[in-house]
Amino acid sequence: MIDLIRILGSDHIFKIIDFLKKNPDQNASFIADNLNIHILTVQRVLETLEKYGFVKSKEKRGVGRPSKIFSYLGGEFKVNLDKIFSGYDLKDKLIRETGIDKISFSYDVDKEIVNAILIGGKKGEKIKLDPKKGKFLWLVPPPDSKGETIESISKKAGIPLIDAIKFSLEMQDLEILEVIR
Amino acid sequence: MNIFSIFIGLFLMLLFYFAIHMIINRGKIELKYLLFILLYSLFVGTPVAYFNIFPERFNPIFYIVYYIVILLPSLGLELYNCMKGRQAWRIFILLFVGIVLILLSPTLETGRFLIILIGFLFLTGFFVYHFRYPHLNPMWLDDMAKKAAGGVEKKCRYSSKPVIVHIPSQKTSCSRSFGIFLLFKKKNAVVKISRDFHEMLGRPNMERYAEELVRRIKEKIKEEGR
Repeated sequence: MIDLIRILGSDHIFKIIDFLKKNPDQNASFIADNLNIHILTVQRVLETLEKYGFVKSKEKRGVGRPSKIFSYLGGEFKVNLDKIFSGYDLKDKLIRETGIDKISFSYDVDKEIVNAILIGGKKGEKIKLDPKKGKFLWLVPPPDSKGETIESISKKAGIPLIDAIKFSLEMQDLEILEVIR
Repeated sequence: MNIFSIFIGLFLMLLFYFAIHMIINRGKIELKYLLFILLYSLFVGTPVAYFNIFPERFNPIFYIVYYIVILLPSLGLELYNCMKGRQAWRIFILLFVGIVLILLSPTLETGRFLIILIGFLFLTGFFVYHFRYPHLNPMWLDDMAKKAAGGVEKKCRYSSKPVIVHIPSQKTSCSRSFGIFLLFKKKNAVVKISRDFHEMLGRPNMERYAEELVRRIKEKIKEEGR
């Protein structure tokens, strides 16, 4: 939900939706070229809008790689503040690793990031992390330590607090992190 | 010159090498390290000693291939650490130049022993550096790693993720021993211990243990600097 609110705050979304309404069935690259916006920004906006059902996409096959074309659908969206703010009180809580046996990490000591979480050994499930989440997890104190607040770790990792809380909750569900108090 | 004299020469070289390790390790060498040092020294020392005594039997292809295979793991690791910015280039230069000069000796007609002597001088520089910064020596690090666990709370949980200790270092350095990896960076230190080593130490509290180990090493480096 927070991802949609974030993109609604940018100017690009209005240009992209306006363009898509006038020119349906276009791919991100075509829109980016015409609006002179970076393709990654257009992709992020379109994928988020698709996630919430405001645009639909289909695969177009032709010469070369198949491309994804988008059309505008429109619609409404309810903001559930309770859901957004659930877990926000976690920001001052101390967290640390649980140190359970089935979890191991793939990391880079020079970049100081965790690249992936391995559940159930090397042949088990692998969860790849983006660099910011990887940095956050790298900075989480070890098991049986004093712990550190999510807010403090998020500042050091350069990750927005709300994302850090969301990520911490995900990690808590996977029993990788625990809240001390 | 017979085979007996070669063995005497090798024995003296091993004794010399052992003495160096006794000094840089402050008089304590575990059996597993002693065996490793002696075997590795024999592998490195035998061909160079043999071809210095019998230069007419020198085979350059065998010689180059043999030493690439034997020395690649250790020199390669030192080079990798330097390239990654994990340690000073001077360590690699001292080691590399010292070894290459000694290895070049059988190819020379004259001045063979002079070049060996210069090679040993470079290697002495390498060992002096290890004396000044003892944590670079795996044997010393292993001993210190066991001592550091002494006063730390035991029966704690383990994580495969390295522990960050927020103590800055003037010099970056990287050292490892059986089950422990230590990286001193400008802003912090990174300590990684293996699950088996953690178990062997009695499962110490990882945060406290890493802090204690880094603190002890820093104190030792400071002491040596005085």
